[in-house]
Amino acid sequence: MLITLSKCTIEIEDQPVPFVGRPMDTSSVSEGDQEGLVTMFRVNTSDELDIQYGIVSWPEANREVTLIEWHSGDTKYDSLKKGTGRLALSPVGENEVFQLRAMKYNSDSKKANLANVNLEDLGAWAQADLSELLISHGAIQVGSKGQLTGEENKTKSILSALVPKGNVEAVAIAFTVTRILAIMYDYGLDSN
Amino acid sequence: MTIPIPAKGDVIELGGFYYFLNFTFGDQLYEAVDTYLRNVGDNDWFNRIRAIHAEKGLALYDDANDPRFLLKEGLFPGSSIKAAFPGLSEHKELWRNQAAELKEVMNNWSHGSIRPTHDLFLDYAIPLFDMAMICSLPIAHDLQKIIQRVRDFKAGKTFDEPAPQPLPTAAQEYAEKIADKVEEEIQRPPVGAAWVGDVPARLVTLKRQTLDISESGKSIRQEFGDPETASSKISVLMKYFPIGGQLRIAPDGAIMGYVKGDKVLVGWVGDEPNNDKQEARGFFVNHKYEYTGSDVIDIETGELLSNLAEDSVANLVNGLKVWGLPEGSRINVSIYGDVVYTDQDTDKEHKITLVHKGIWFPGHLPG
Repeated sequence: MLITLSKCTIEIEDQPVPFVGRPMDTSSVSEGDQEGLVTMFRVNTSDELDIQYGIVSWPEANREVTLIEWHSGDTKYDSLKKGTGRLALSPVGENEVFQLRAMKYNSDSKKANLANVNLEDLGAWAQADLSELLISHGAIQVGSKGQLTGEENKTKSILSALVPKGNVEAVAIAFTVTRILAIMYDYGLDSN
Repeated sequence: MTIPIPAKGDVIELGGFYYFLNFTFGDQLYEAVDTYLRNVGDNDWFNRIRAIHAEKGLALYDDANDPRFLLKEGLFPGSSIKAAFPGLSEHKELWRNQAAELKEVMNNWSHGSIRPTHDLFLDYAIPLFDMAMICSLPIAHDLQKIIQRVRDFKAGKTFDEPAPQPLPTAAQEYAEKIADKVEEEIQRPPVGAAWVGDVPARLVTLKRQTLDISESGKSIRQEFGDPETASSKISVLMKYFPIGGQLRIAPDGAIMGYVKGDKVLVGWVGDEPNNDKQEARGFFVNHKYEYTGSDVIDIETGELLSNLAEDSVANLVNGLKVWGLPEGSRINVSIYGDVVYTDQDTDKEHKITLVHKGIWFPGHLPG
C-alpha cells in the first residue's frame, strides 16, 4: 500500500515477515532475542531520504517501530540512521496506545531527540489535520495519554494516539510525521 | 488615441499599460501647461526651464511631455511657470504631496524595477488618477475604468472579450522589457528562491563544526574565493542549514539545498551572475525603506533593521554612510538583495550594495 503524505511517500508491505531481535519493551519476560513478525514500511522524502522501518509484533513483548535499513539521506537525518526515535506501543484493553513525541533538535546536545509536540506543528508538517488523518487510517482517538487510557501518572498529559491492536497504517503515518517530517521541517531549529 | 482597457491583467499587459498611461498623462499635462504658456507669449518655455534644470544639476529630459520633468518643475516652490500647472494654485499643498508621491513611483516604474502585479499597478494608477483629478485631465475618466478593471482582476474575475487595440510601440517595448526581466528571474532566480532544473550531480557537505564545505572528505573552501569571501559565503549558507547538511553544486556554480524538503537555490560558489552590472537585478521587494543616517527603517511598520536583523548590520549601515547616501533617503531592495537608491533630483538609480537575508528584515528577501 502506498500512502502519499506531505512531502513523502510511505510504502507499506502487505504481509508481515519473521523478524528476530531484542524487544525494546523491558517488561518482557524473556531475555535475549525473540522471533517476532515485522510489517515493513519504506519512507521516501522529497529531500531524498530513503529509509525503511518495521512495525514489530513480539510473542512476549509490546509492539514497537524500529529501524530496518537506512538506504540513503542527508546528514540532517543522521540521528535516525543511529536508530534514535523508536516507538513503543502499550496495550490498553483491546487497543494500543502510543505517544506522539517528535524528533526535536537540541541546541545543547547538538542532536535530535524525542520531545513533546503539539497538534498544530504536526498538522503543519503533515499538511493535514493529524487527528483526522490518523482516524481515517484506523486510529480510534488522538488526545492526551490520560484521556485515552484513564491513567493518572507523569505521562498523562503527553499527546498520544489510540489504535486497535495490530493497526499498521496509523502507526506508520504517525511515526513518519513525528520522526521524519519533524526533522525535515527543522523542529527545534528556526523559531520552533 | 482612445485608451483601451486591459483584457488579461498579466504582468506583461500591465507593464505596457503603465507605460502608455504614463505618457498619455504626460501628453495631457504638457498640453495644459503649453497652452497656458503660449497664451501668455512664453513659447520657448521648455528650453528655458531645461537650462535652469541643467544649472541645478537636475535630470535633463529631451521631451517636454515626460511627466517626471513636468512634475519636478511643478514641485519647485520657486518655479517661474507654476501658474501654468492646472490645479496647482488652488490645491498647492495637495498638488505637491501627490506629485512627489507619484514622481517617486514613476521613477521606480521607469527603471523597470516594479513587477506589474495587480497591487503594485494599483499603487501606481491610483496616485496617477488622484493627480489627474487635481489637474482636471481627461485621462482621469479612463483611469477610473482601468483601476476598476484591475481591481476586478485582483478579485479573480476574468473577461472574455477581444484583445484590446495594440498599445503604441514604445509601450510594447517596455512590456517586452518586463517580460525579459520575468523570464530572467525564472531562469536565474535569486538566492532563497525555488531551484529551477534538475538536481545537480555534484554532492558536497556543509559542516557545522568546522564551518567548511567538503567533497568526498576534502575541503573545497578555496573554490569560494579568498578566505574572507569564503567565510562570508559559508556563513550565509549556515543561515539555511544551521546544523550543516548536504548541498549540490551545478556546473555554473549555483548551489542547491533542500530547505524543509524543498529544492532551493541557496548560494553561489563563485560570483553571482550579473552582480557586476551597475543596475539592480530583478524587481524590487514590496517594501519601502528609509535610511536614517544610523539605521534603516521599514516605512510601513516603523521597525528598525538593527532590531530585527539576525546578524549585526553595523557594516551595512556604515557602508551606506561611506557611499554618501543622504540621511532620510528612500531606498529599495531587489529580490536579489541589491540595495538601490533613486536620486529624485537626477532620477538616476544607484545600486549601492548587496544584502542577504541575515542582514535584512526577516521575511523580506526570498528564503
